[in-house]
Amino acid sequence: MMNRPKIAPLGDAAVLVVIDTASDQAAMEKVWSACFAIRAALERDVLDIVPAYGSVLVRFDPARVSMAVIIASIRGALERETAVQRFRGREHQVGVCFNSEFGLDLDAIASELALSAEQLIEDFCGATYRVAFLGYTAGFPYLLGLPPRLRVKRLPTPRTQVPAGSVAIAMDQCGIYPRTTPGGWKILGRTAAEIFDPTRDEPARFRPGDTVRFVRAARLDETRTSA
Amino acid sequence: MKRSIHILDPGLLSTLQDRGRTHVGAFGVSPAGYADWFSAQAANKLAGNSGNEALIETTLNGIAFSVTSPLRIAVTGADAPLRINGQPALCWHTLHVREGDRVEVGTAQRGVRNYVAFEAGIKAKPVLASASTDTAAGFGGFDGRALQKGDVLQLLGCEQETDDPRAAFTERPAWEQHAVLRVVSGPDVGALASGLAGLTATGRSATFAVKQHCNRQGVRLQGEAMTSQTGWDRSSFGVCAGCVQIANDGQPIVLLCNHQTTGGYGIPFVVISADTPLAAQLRPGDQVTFQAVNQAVAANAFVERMRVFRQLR
Repeated sequence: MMNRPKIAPLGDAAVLVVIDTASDQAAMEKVWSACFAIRAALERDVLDIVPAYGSVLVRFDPARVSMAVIIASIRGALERETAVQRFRGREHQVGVCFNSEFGLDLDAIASELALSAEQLIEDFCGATYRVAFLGYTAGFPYLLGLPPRLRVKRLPTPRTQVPAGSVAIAMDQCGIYPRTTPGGWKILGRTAAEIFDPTRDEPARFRPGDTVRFVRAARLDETRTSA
Repeated sequence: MKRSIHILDPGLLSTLQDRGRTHVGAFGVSPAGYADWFSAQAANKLAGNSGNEALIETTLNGIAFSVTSPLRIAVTGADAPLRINGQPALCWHTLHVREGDRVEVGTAQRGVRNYVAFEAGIKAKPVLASASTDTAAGFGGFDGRALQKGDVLQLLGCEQETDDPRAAFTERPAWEQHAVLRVVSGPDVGALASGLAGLTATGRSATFAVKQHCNRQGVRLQGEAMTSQTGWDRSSFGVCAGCVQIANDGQPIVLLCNHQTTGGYGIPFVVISADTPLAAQLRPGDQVTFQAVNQAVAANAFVERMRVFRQLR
């Protein structure tokens, strides 16, 4: 059985459902599952359902529905969900080119971790990642599953421009920058795969709960056809 | 007849907006949409629109455009001079313009954002089911960008014009130099060393000034730092417009419509929906005081703010 989630107003037009105080994969399994249950029960009555670490935000229009009704509906949806459903998601293989022109921090990370660049790439590509949620910027996946031995600090000063497609790590996190934005994570390599395209019905390549593996590519153009 | 408007001077930042995007937060996509929902919805209402028609949101110094056909329009939002062919005209009123008319919204004296709505609305290619320009991510609206001089906006066709309807909004929020924003407690209210009551009591320490760097993502404030025993770093969670984030320097940021979908800062309180238009119209240098209310007051305030729309129906 799940601990009873904490369901509390976030202002007068949203509710924050706190599922778990942890943000590891076990906690995220519960979040994805709760998100699924909430979406099935009240997607049409609300404006948005947004998962993040350990929580789900539900945004609604106070002109159409009251806070009390929303909270009761969420509670009902989560109580009917008797066990955590195995949330499998889809599987992706993302090609990454680690050449020095793209892996802007590769050597610095390797020396911070006292590994060779080769060993670093091998360890990074050897792991399996799960998409915790998307945030920061449109389409940006927060990935779980970085091997603990690959944990590095953020850059002391964030870059004003992280090139689109950069695959980067910081602390226990890993992510892919969909477009060129500022950012403070350290860059391992780059993919040419389209990460976000707002003209598609489903604009983001990844969904929360999806599985991601990184595959080493000799050239950047080989990474365009990532699956 | 082709109904269109020609941008003569776009001002600082003029974009196409509607009520924004829904069901996209899980993709990391911001709702975007108009920042001041009250003024935007009023403009549409006065232009004879009943739904989610796309309109123009301006920033600080207005916009100038000409029209190619007789048209019902309305301008609301910031207190700014409005001229049609050089003659003063009224904001917050239904206006009828004719072919070739030149409409100028001048520099805002109070408030920041003006809304210009057109009968039947502006034609825009929907992106993720909305005409809104996401100014942070650069898509939607007019080619994903702010309007430029020379842009031509097509308008949607409309039914035969009705019997010259005119309306005015007499009841609307005032854009005060010292704004009082009503707030309800948020998830991190317990971390606030002063407590919510202590923060919002009248007094010098509870007043914040609006900083220079404000945009559609949020309004940055500066005042006596808000302290927390635990700091303000949090594990990222979903946020919404009105949320007041406290950065690690103890200074608040009031989130507006183009906010990031998730945030990693504590949120001790949240501006109520009735008052998010006041937050969206704050200018650098304005003063802000927060006033704590409960959920019942917030709900009533929203009903009260909406009442004028029902009266005009």
